[in-house]
Amino acid sequence: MFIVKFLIIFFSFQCFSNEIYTIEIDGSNLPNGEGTINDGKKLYSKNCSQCHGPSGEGLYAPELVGKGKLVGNEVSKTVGNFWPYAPKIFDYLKRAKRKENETFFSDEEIYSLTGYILNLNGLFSAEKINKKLLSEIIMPNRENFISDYY
Amino acid sequence: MKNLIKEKRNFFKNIIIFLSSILFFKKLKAYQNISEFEKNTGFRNYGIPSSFEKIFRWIVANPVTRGNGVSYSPLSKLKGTITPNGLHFERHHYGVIDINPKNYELEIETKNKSKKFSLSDLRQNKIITKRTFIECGGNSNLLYNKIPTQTKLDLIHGLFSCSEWSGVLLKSLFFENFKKNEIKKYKWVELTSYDKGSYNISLPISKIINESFLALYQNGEPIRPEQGYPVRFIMPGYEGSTSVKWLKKITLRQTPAFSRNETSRYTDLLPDGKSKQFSFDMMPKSIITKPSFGDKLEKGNIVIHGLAWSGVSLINRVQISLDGGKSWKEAKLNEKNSKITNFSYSFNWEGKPILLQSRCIDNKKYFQPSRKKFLEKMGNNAYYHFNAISTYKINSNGKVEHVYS
Repeated sequence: MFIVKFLIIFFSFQCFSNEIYTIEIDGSNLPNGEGTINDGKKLYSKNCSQCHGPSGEGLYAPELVGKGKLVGNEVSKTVGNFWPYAPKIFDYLKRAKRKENETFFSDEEIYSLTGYILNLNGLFSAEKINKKLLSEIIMPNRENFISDYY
Repeated sequence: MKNLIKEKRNFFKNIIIFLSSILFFKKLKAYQNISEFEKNTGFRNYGIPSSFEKIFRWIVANPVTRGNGVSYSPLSKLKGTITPNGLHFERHHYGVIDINPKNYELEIETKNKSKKFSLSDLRQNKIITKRTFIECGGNSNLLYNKIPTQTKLDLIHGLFSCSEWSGVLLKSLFFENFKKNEIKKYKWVELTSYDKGSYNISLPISKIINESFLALYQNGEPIRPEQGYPVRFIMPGYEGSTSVKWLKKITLRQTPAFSRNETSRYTDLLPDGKSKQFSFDMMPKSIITKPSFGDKLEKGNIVIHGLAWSGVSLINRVQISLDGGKSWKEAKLNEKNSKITNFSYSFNWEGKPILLQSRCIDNKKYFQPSRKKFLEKMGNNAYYHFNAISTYKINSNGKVEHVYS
């Protein structure tokens, strides 16, 4: 009986940990835990730099870093100058799988990567990042989205 | 001794070549897929095109991340409005997945209730059929470029295809499984895919509730893996990024999810630096598919063929200009008051250079705009939703060139 109970708990935990849920723009349902910019840097160079470039300048995949302009000729859209909500960087990374072995990143790893990308964009400078700190970041382009629906 | 090693190596090399050539021919045979039964009877269980016709999709893929990229429909080689299933354009953000229907499950989720459906559950519903096109929001966006790109029509406008899709209306799934009052509490649906990036997109319920459906069949057969097998969401007339393939979950929400593909992508960056979000509608557009870039015309009678479509209205008229938009003549429509139609126009070409254009007019008197007029509003940075008029210059040597006018 104990073993059965254990297995049920174990497998439901397994399912839960792989379950994708949508992180809200205010960060209210971000998980607990924290990451560090240093770990983010290591994770980035191992898992992301091949496509997004050594410092996020873009290569086979879009540029992530830069403060280019959004008006006039030769605009450039990056995470730093275009994405409206910082917690959605976490959301997007949570959905992604590592190219190497197709496993999901852990929440700590995602915090680290999110922090590192924000750091490269000059939008975050502390060493550690967590739910509270990530939710507080106001992205520069936040007010520049318009829609017929809101 | 050295010679012996060399001989041995050569011997093994020959064996490997021999074995791999067997494998190659086996593979080739598997591709042609003729069983003994088919051979003996002279019939095919599933037909393939004539070996004399080479019509294929143009693939532009990410060289590092397998499965990311697009394939373009060869519109310049196709006739009619229906795209053959194997030639329907593709845009995959995170690759194709081949789902075993035994493991397939669709979840519809509200705050209080979650309901799961198997593929056979879905197939047992009332199946409706609609001819509808799917067009990528980024289709034709090469025409935003400052200098006209001299490339095939297919690579400019080929992120567009049309099929007869069959499936289950979203509203019947909603109202047969949830209380009406429960559904009415919510304003948005979030659609999530089974693909590797758990692709997600949000749509306003009031706009999609009547027409959207879960496609199970494309041109009569179960939809193909690259089109989202076994279930693809379709809202007719909306940009292709909303037709979520490999549909996993429908979540009812109060607000949009503000996912990456509805903020960072598929938003129109306007001249004032603001970005228009949730610009789902694919506006009326017409293109001339024959002649097109790469053709060489001979003097005499020229028959123009083309396609016109609208995601928001019905195409009433298509007009042709031979002088870059100064004067217009009516083209002949194959279907009137339709969301998609073929058109044709004949004229005598004497060999002088001309500027060839088509424009469509819908039942709300919307005129497909000139590129100049379109860019005044949208600017050059919008990237998506280009629906202005294209111009071909027919040079005196008969060659077709892309120009702006």
